[in-house]
Amino acid sequence: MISFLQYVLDGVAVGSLYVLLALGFTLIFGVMGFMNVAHADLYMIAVFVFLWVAADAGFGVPAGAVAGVLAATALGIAIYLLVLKRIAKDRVLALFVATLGVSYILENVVAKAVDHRTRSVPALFTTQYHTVAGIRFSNAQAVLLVVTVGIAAALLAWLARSQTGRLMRAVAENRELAEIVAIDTGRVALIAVGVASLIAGVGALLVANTSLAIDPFVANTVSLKMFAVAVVAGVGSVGGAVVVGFLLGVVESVTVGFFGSEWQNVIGLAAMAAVLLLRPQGLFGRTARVG
Amino acid sequence: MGGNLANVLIVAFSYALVTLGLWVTLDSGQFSVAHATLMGLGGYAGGIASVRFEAPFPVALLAGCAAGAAAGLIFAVVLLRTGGVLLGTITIALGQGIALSIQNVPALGGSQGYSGIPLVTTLPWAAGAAAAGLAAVLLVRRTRFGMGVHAAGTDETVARSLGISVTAARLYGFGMGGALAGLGGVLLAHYNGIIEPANLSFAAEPLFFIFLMIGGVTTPWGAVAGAVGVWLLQEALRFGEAGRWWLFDQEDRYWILGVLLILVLLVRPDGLLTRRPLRRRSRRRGLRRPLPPRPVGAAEAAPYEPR
Repeated sequence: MISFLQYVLDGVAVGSLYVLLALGFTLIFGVMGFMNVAHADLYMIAVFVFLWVAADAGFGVPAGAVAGVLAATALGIAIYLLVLKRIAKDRVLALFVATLGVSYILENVVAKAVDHRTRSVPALFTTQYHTVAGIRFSNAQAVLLVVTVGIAAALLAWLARSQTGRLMRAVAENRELAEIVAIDTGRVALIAVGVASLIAGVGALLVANTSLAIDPFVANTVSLKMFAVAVVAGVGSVGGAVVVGFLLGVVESVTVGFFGSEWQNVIGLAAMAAVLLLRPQGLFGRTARVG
Repeated sequence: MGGNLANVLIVAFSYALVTLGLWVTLDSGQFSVAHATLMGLGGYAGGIASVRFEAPFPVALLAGCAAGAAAGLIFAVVLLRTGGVLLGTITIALGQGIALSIQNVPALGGSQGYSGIPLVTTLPWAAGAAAAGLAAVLLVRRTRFGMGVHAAGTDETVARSLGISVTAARLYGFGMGGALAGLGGVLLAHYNGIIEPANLSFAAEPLFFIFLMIGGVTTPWGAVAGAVGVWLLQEALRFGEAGRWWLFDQEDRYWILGVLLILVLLVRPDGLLTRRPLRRRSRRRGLRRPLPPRPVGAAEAAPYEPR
């Protein structure tokens, strides 16, 4: 029983990453209507910039953390302004391939810069382990969990209450109608990309703080979890992404604990295939997406 | 350089087959992101035929082709109820799931890959297979059924209302696409001597989209020209013996291809080779024949009104 609870706790920590990435991904998917494969690469970029500024250039951890988050946000916005905005919105294939291409560029540039090696990441703060009732957890995990829940709650409240949040939901619901009532969909999309990239940057640093390692191609595994969470939850459903992200982390962790790590990556994909066959709109999606 | 160029072309033609398969599937309106997986399954099937059953090479080619087609058909059946971007996302899941499952099967060599495959792919085999694949796709394209597949891919609702079977189009799209990708996979497996789970994974996928989008997404010629052209370019970017030129070395060729892809997407979103629009084609082929001369006296009975 103790070990089961331990797996659940570890799973919640892993799930936080899935939540943070899927939040941004599903926000972009909802507002702009395509899969942004390059979103997971923002995670990689944030951690590498943090690593370079904090350790290699010696500016210290706080400066590195700020630089990492800013780099992820700026890059996300730059990708949107330079590439995605310039491709017609109905060309879904071209948009998808463009994000694939951007991710290919980012990964290979960084891979060359670090010589295809996995780098270790300096900790944001000193990690301490606590044991309560036989369950071991670190302060890094606790901070990650608290920040994830905080960001998710803030994003949900912002989407539900603020003027910009309402505009965003309107665009996600029906882009053409939103344009007809004079909503600046380009501006709304830009805000969505900025917020999503910011969340990815913050999440990246907190997750790197628990794993303490980063490699240039980490996005290949991470992006699959991102798809799985967003699709199982229902694309565009931000609240659903929170629930499913934590759930996937826990289920993975428990499976790995009892059956071995080789099945870890299959679970999310199997869940995704099953949900799409039985309930294509996702567990929390309201209506089936057409097309 | 002669032998070297032949080796480069073998890989280029194998990739051309996979890209052609991707084109067929996309043209039928199914957004597949799993052609690396179909290719890999073909490679495994062909490799097993060669190693375990000591089959001659043509039999191995057929086995890979059949395996790719079978896997493609299963994909199509699973995906019949979905469409668009969602379909693409599931293909990612299916492909990655297959790659990870193979990794856990010791009989297939696990993550080390299935090795010891005889090195029998030669340039004539690769070029011949690519030519045969292109010819088959172009032939089907000229038939009524082929036009129906294209129509179903362009607008499913309109196609269905015209009596075109969208199910048949989708099965053809993934079946034929899988067969071509599998054929390419057998050629590659018998060129490298090994097929690994990493060849099947999502990470292997962008390459084929780079080929296709640069070459041209509206015509099968674009798929073949893109694969061969871009593969030759990336070999040229190895910068020969020295391995570097000016500020660049051969490690840079991957992201240079990525930049090229983005530029093509921004400037020419359909790729470099594009298809002549259908209407102009039909006029050229004389399908719009002049109206037959009216019989004498008919004009009074029913006046003809040209639109």
